[in-house]
Amino acid sequence: MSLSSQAYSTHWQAHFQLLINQLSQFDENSAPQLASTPKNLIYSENKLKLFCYEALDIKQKEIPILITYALVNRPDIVDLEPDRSLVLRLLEQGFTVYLIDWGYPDSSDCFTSLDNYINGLLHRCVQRTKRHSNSQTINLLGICQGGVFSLCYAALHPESINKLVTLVSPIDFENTHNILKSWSNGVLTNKLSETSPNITGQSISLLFNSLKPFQLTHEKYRQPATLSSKKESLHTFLRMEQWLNDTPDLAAQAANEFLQSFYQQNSLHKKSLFLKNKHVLLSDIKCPVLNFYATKDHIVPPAAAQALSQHIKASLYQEAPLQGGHIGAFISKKTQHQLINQLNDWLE
Amino acid sequence: MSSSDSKADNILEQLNTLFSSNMPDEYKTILQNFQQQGDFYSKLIQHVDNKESLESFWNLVNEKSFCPLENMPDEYKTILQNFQQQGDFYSKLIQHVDNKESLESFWNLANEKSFCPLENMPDLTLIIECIKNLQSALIKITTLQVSVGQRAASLFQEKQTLLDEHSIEKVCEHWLQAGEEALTEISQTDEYIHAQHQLFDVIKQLMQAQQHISEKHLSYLGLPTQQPITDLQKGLHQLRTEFAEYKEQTEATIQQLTISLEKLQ
Repeated sequence: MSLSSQAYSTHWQAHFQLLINQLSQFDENSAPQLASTPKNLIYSENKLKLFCYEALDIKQKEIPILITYALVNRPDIVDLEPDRSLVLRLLEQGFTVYLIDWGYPDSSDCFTSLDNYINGLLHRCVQRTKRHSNSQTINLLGICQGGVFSLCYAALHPESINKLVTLVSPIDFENTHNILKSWSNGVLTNKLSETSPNITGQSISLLFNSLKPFQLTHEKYRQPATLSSKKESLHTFLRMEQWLNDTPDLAAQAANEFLQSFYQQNSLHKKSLFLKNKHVLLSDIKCPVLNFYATKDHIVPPAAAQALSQHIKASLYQEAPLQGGHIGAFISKKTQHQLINQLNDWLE
Repeated sequence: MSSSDSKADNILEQLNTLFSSNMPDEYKTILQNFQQQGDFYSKLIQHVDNKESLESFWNLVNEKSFCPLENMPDEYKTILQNFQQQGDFYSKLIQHVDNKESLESFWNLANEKSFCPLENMPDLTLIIECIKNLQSALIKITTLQVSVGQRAASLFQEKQTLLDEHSIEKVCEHWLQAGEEALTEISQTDEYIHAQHQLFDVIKQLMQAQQHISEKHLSYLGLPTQQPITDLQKGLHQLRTEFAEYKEQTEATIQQLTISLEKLQ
């Protein structure tokens, strides 16, 4: 049986030609942009920026939401494009939405620690958000590593948090059975001297690609037909590529601490995490917690996120599955609809 | 020339024009990626058609994500190249001796460096030792990565034989599944994990050796070494943190005072 590689090549070339025609129409000014929902800068500190999104012309809810994303990758993913914007969906429900943009660390930030991020930068952003919105407390929405930071913050500063939402956030790092976990075990952080440089964004991208190399390096670029046939698909693809290629460096100290305390020692789950001599116990969280996890997440497997239930009082804890992968869970149109409905009902 | 050959040439011509145009760089990269994968999948399907060996289609050795040398300084890549060249040289020498062929060219001084700086610089013997260890660690991990291709080829054939109807879509789907399954299987073995840890150890030793030599040379030249730079970075970080805390306290106090004043009025 011949598969006719000739027919395949002909079909492929025709669609690749279409893709070339489409891409050649874009220049720097006309290329599809991310993060287009209007927002205002309300605070900046070193590389960090805190934004408040412009409210839509609808009745506003009292307590604002502060979104905390991971240090890895840019937070623009929460506002990828209007149809897939988590931010816009929240604004449409009448929430006042704030976002922390951690910025692009450089060599002068290499000594920024996890304590600086959580009890320093995040703490000051929470205080700013409270003052700006004239609210005694805020709702915190933490995504991935941002969720881990949010949990630590809520445990250490319960007075500021009304409700806490975590999205695809790992708690039990021994449950992350993938190359990332075994890789992190091999990195001897105790051999890292004071003078460890920041971890480059490029290294991080390569590391994540190594989790699914055949999918992310080959399969993704196999079918130009899926892009050339639909303008919407092409624009979404181009925005995703832009986001994937825009990976900030990681401040050396915080990266090493996270690797050691979370991936290697699993300290948060084992209740042995200290941030500058303060014991971080998730059981100290006093607010209601809604924990979303993705059913096909290869970076934070469901069990790694669901482990949060072992720490929060049952009366305060709720969890909800989202169909999809680590990112797809909150940018896919279908699951975003489900996420927002559940979130809105729960926060009311 | 067939019509598909002429189409391919036309596409190449267009791509060359676009790559020198003002199209955003990331779009040029996207087109390059699509083109490379187009060639890749065409070859895969051709190989499946011709029942040729498929192992190389799961080759991780050339994948950037699995190449620890990606960020290695150019001079170390040169050193590794030198080792490889000498490996080839000695293989040929032994082959010539075995075959009783002329050996004169093996003492060709014309291409020899008259001075070998590496051997006479004691500091760099430390680097050479690290490079040798790195080479050994790379060989181990590369062998395991090659075994991923072998396992994937075997899994692929198993999946193909279960099919009633064959199609290009199924070939590509099975290629992907076989690769991911083989990688998951092998990357979680003790052997692979140990080889990976060894590689990281050796890379770290190399970085420390490089740092040690750099520090020495910088101090000979009277330029700042790492310690003064580290001290500056620490100082700057502390200043930033203190300032931010001071600013926050001040603004919080101002807000409280403002509220109190408003209540009094």
